[in-house]
Amino acid sequence: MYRRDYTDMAAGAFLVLFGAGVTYTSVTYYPMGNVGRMGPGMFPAGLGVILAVFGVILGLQALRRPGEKPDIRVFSPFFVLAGIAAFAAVIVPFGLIPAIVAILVISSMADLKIRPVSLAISCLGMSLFAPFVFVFCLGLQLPLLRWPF
Amino acid sequence: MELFGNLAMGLGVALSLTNLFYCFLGALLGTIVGVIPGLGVLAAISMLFPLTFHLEPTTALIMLAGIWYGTTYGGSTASILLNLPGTPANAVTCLDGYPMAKQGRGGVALFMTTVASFFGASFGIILLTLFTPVIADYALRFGSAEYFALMLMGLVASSTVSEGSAIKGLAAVTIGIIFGLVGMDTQTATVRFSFGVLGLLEGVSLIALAMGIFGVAEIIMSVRRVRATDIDPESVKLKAIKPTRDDVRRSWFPMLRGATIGSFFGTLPGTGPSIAAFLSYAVEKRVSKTPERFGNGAIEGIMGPESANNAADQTAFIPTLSLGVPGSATMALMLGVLMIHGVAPGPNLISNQPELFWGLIMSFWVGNVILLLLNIPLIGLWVRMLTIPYHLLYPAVLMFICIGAYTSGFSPLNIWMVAAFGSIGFVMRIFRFPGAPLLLGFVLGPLMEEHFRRAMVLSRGDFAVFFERPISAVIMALTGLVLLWSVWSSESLRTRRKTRAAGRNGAGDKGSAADEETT
Amino acid sequence: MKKILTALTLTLGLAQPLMAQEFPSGTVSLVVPYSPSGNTDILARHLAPYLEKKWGQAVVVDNRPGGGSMVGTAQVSQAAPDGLTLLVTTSAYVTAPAIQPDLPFDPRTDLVPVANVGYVSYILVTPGSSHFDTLDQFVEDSKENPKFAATAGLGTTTHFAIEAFIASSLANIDVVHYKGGGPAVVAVLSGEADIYGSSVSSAGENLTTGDLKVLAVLGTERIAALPDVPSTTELGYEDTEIHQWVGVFAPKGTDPGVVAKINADINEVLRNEVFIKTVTPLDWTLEQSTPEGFAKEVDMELTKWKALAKEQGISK
Repeated sequence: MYRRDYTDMAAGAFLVLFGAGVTYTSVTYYPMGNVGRMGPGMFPAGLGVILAVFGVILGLQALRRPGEKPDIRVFSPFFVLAGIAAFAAVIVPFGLIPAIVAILVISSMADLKIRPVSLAISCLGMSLFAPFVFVFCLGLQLPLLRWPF
Repeated sequence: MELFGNLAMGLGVALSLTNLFYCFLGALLGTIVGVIPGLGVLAAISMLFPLTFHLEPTTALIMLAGIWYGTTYGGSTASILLNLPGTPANAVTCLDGYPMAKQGRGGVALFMTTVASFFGASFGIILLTLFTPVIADYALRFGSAEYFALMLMGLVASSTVSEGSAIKGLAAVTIGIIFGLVGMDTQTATVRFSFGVLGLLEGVSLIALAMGIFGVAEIIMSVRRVRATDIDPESVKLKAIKPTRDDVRRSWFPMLRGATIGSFFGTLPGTGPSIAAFLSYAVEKRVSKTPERFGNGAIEGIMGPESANNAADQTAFIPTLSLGVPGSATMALMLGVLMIHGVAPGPNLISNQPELFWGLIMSFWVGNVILLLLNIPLIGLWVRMLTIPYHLLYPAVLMFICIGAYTSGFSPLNIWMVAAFGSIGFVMRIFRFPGAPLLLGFVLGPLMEEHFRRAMVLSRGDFAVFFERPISAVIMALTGLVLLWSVWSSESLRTRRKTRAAGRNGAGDKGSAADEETT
Repeated sequence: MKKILTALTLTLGLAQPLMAQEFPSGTVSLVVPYSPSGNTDILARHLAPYLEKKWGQAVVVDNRPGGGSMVGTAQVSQAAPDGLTLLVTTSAYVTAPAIQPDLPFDPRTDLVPVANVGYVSYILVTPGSSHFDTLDQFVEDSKENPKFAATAGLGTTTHFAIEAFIASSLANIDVVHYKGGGPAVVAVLSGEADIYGSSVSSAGENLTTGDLKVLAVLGTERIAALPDVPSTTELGYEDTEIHQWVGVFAPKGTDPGVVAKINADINEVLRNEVFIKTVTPLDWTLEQSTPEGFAKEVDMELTKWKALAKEQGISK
């Protein structure tokens, strides 16, 4: 436990920054119009300000109370997100099945334990099951295997 | 009585062998497609809708209705068991449904959801049957100012649904609205916040956002923490679906309240099930004597909202059938089916095509019953899925999410967005910001802006319009009340929890043991 | 040498019709840049089975809504010009570009007009409870009491329809945008908007029940569905001819022979008795065209609406 709720203060700071960013972008790039005919910029600009206000209130509240330690994980988010990114990068050039293998392999490493046998089985299983469901049953046009070179 | 005659005729139509078969087929397909995480309800319906093209109009509508229930129901299954909401209404179910699943009460949650849905739908159907012209008429009194006020109220209410400070809830709503504004502004054709990416012209994909913030974030937090052996194998047997007496006792009023709220909101085109679900949750939390149970597996937390969103789904037919204005995207599809077959919706539909109308209404009931029967054995299957070791389950779930995201738009952009929102969701978990209000803000934000701007144009720049028009003024006042109440009660909740903790350390708290859902 | 040249010319000359002969070589995709079950989508879905029968290949409707039809249109402009991806869109094709300056395609050059399918006319409707019985009364009153006109969205044909009327009548009317025809009709029903340029099918039953009043038909002629309603030209408002049409386009570079074939096949469907009977209740007036004629029409309308937009101050 911390004496002050640093997590929430950090959260408040994020909100202020994000809100300010939104308002700045809106005011600079999009016409504001007037109140009777609001331009595309007015509403988001207002929201940005409101968000920043929330951030300040949150920060002030956090100042006056103790806070718990935040729960920050490093490995799981890395592998899970890397797995998703791999799928996104692989599916168009190489097709569905390589993408499936990529995501299954990479994201399962988030467990920090590599189980080659069960991994191989699930890759095989999913490579059969997913195309069956999506391409065969639902009729979606997803290329299974491609070689772009 | 003419009404009974009509109902009987309708039942006859609904129970004809063809219609029964197609209803069943629709419900089955819908459920299966709806369960797949990553495929939203709307995507599922759009995929299956062409199947109805070659059927008779009545049969086509019945099958479409079956598909629709099925997908909605399948969506709740994914929400409860995997914390993967397909719609904002599902996100509310996640709040207490998912904790219930983690406590080994997933079967109960799924079963009770079906019951609540049935109840809500029946309530809505009755209203639909008796009051269509009256309701349609009064719905016309809601103009842009009123819609804005309603949405604002819904959003403020949604910020109260989770534990923790109301400020975080409101901030989450605001962030959600901002995400919702990405894309082309339909009032001025200016593209906002797209930073040159063509795929963002239409805005951020709802599926990508929901899957990222709920599903991926959940997986990130659960990896290496959840052990499948934590779930008692006994709990996945058929017996485990049976709710306890306590559950049943607690469910009646939430269902009733939920159905009332849902029926009201469903009749207003465009607002719909999502707001109804959130409001119902907020109301239940407010009237409960033990609000701290919410978010930890309180059965009222799913009974009320599920009943509400199903009632809303039913009453959404009222503006669709009588005004010809679809209340939601699903209704638009239904309307399309009618028009393809040359049936013109409008107040005369009921008198011109009685078999169609009453047949459809009775088939709603039949469809719901079919779903009830269909899903009981399926529940066992789904819950058994949870006993798969997590390290095998989660990569597969991620795969489904990615495929689902890819199929809505056939561009890897959506998948990248899932990753982005997964990170955002993860950060939100660290800072303890609630996800459900963000989702509602995302969906309602752009609509709210549209109504706001239009109200301002119509009032020629006068802000007071929201307080001068009677209906709008009432709603704004209610919103203010909700806001004050929530800020006040979040503080008092904090104090109550502290005293409870202090009390438990001391002499022991007799009252809480009975209320607490034990793991 | 001569022999070779002759052979070459003959081959090249044959190549065009040969390509048309091979068309289509696979599934044809009719891209509809609107969500399923709108007017255009329904028409495309009615068209599809006839084309499927004629071509012997699957013809599927692909919905790509967004940006007032511009998203789907942009996607087709970038598709392969093999005739397998066709755009089925409305006159938003010529109105939206007048208002959206930064389109990722040029509507004059990046797509080839293939065929016109048909059109619907617009009627000017007011709430049933309003006390104006003629259009002139409405216009006159607007000088003292400014009115609101609903549209189905910025850049839609209903928007331009009402702008054309405003330009011609010099009435004091402010435009309010709604999202789609449905909400626009509801706005007039509830009285939030005072007038709207609707299609007959959008107005629906409300015309017979009296919840909506029709003041005029936009254009030069009266329509069969409402024989007693005067046209705006009759009443003295010039330059108010506007219809919502549906047309088929192909990506630029599509072989002209293929374009001609698709055009001919579509025209054949438009003459089909059963097809006519199915779509007429939906208020369509079918019209056959040639690719060149349609292209000229499209070009002319692009210019016309751009000019109107500039004049009314709504362009960018």
